Amino acid sequence: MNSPEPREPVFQLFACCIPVQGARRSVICDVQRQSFQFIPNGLYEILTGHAGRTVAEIQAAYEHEYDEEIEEYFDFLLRHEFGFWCDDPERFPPLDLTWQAPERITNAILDVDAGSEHDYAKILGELDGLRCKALEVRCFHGPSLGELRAILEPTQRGRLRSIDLLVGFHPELTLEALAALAVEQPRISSVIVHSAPERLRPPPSRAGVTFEYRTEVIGSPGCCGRVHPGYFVVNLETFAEAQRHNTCLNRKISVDARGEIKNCPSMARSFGNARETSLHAALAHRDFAALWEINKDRIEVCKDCEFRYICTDCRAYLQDGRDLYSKPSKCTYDPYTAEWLSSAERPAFAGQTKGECG
Amino acid sequence: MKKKMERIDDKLFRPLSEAEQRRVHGSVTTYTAVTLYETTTSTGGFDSVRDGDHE
Repeated sequence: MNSPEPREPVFQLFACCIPVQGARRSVICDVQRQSFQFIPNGLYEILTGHAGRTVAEIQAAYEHEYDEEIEEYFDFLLRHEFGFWCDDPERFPPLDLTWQAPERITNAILDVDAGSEHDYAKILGELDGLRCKALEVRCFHGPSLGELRAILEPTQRGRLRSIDLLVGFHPELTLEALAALAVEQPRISSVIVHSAPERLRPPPSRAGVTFEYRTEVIGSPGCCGRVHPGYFVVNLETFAEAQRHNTCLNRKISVDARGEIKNCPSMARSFGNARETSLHAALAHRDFAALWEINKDRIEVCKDCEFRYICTDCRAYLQDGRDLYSKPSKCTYDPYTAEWLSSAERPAFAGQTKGECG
Repeated sequence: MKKKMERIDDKLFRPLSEAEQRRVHGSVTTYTAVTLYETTTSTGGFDSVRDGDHE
């Protein structure tokens, strides 16, 4: 009796290499190596619609019209280490992209300017009570070293894991002084000094803290919300979160420079002032978490974009301010042509102060 | 409908250059907590410890 003919191997993507289709082209997001690579939508179709088929079967499915292109595709996938040949693809299930977090709030923004009258101990204590693990402090003015220490003092204890500082230049904020501050406050993970007299970007400290001096003025929350490849985040946490949640606002709480508690300091709606309202009470408002579920699949244009699961989004500055599901106004990418518009074609957006934000 | 198979070496599919990925000056974009943590901790990888790993 003849044994059955051995089956040709089939191509299997590594589970961490996840294809995402866009209107004009697709990407493979490698959430382990934290990178992405563009691919044709035809290859996306092969990887998803023809998964588990041999090359010969795929070429036959396209009636041998694209045999050469299809072979090039698999050479490309192997060359970039996106997958492997195997006989048993059923043994390699996809990643579970369910996203969960035990914290009620995972991240927070605290804005400060020269006129702020925050009760830092109260705000940071309440953030700790919400189990917040990441804090961004944005000082639009140039605080002295003493003021910066006073802001950070209540974070000495508690469960914050990272503090990112954005501060205006002050003569006391030398690189040596900031490096010493980062040693005193090991939760500091990055420091950006804006409005600096000169640009400076030294190597990260031994603890991995990054320091950067920029000459540009970052003088208001209006400088936030830009969508750009430099801000894309390719990792499993963000990719999984983006499947069902908004990658900017999910589990975020903010206190603006006047103390107003908001989803984002750039948004108009306040859920109370931190002097009179606790963060817990603001969070308990039935509308507070409403924006958390606006994932990119629900946003006009973004839902057709290949970057939708690695983009950080913005719900504050929108092309149509009356439509919460409108594309971010500071995104100049057109997924239907796969082109970034030049700055001259960039749509205007509200909230940006003239002369700021580059 | 089957898609047209474009050549993989078309300029549409070339990787972004360093310059194209450089952040826009003078702007800030906030990330979620995990992003902040992951991207600022250079040791992220097999040996990194996450919530729940030892529960």
